[in-house]
Amino acid sequence: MAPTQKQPLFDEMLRSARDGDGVGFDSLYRNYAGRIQAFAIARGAADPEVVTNDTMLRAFQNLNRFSGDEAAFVRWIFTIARNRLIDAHRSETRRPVLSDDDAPEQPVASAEDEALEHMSRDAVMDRLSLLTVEQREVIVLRLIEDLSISDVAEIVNRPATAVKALQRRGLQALQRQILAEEVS
Amino acid sequence: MNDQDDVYQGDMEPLTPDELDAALAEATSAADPEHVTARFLHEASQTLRSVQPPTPSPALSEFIGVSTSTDTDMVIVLPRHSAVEASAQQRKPKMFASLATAAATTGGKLLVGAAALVSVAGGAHATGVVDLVPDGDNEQTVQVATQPDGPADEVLGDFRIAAGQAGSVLLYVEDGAVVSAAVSSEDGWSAEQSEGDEDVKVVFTNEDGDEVVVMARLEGELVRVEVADDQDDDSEISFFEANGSPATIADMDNGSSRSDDSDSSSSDSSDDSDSSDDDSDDDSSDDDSDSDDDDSDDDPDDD
Repeated sequence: MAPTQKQPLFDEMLRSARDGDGVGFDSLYRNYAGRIQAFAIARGAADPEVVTNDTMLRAFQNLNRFSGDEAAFVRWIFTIARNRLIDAHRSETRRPVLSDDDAPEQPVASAEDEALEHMSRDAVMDRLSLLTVEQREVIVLRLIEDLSISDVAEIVNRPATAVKALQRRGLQALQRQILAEEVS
Repeated sequence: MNDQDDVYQGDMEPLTPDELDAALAEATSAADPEHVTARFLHEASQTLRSVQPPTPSPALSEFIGVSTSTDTDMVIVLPRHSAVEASAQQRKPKMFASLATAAATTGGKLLVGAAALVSVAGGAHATGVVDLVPDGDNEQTVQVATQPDGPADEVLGDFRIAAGQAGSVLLYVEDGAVVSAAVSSEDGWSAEQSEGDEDVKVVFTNEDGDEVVVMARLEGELVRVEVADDQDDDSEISFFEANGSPATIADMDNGSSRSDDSDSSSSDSSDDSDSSDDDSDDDSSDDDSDSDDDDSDDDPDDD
């Protein structure tokens, strides 16, 4: 896609981070960590914060190996995120279940707003959870990032035709579910 | 599975302008499940986009905490969307609604994301998008944005013609001719445009010499759009009314003949073969563990 006006800002952010400037890293974190976190949540990560931090850390550590524009960066960082999610899922299935007493203490929700936010997010997730993980990640990537089919295909390492099929079936499944809810 | 949905666009019964208007008018109504689907997609998008970054881990804080700048307030925040995209974003709920309606009514397909957010040059008053995705090997996507409130004598409709991965062309009809308003090419592709008196031709080429050609011209009262991809050795021909609506078969009979060389698009069996692993994806998401074992070995940061 033709460069947009945000490309110079991205270039500056990247250059700053590559120079080791915390402002550059902070900028990258603020611009992308929330989006990675949303992807991790929607994909059903057990601990989306850990996945997000891990993804951003890997990106920071390998920043000098990245080349490309902002769109390429988005594809790159979401590919890292997806692979971290897959690894996390594998680890999760191997990890022994903790009892409530053993579970690490979770940060306490700070405000009513957070509860409301989670309620809305839960409602969205309830419906998205009806989809297969492949359908969900395709649809969520397109919803969050407005990525093209080819971009999503690159991230999920599938042919574009498969991504289109996943998207179509996912949307059809959502529509069926909503129809069923309406009927009931 | 669901092959009945895979109908060549010329054989589909498109929304009439009245139906499209009605769908848009009902976009804020919860009465129609298809529109609820559209609204859900919009809400999901908003909800997911509102997710805030977590607290940085100690390891990340080591990166973020090192500032060589004297001004710690210089954090760069990128706009999520360009101005044009932002305009499209404002139309998103209606677009989702019309997309959902198109799928339910015509057998067309829902399309979300960037491709659905058609940027319409001079089309701030555009009110809807109908997505018509031809099936088959050919991946060209034809999207039509209508602007029924527009000055009919000047610009009748805008057409965003997307040609596979090469780019897209924004067309409109003005003074009895097809005019190109904008051409955008994807990374690795360049575009060359030639515009005749009544037709438009845009040739996209990439470094490998692949070529995608978009040609549009008026035939009678219809706009004929052909997208030819030499990679697939295939071309897709579509007809639209000058106001941006997909042409019906009756329109074609009256206005122009149709060179239907896209019979292969009557089925998307190729899609299914590519995604045979998701044939059962109408089931619940309990198969996450299976899917996760497929392809995590290509971590770009592990190169």
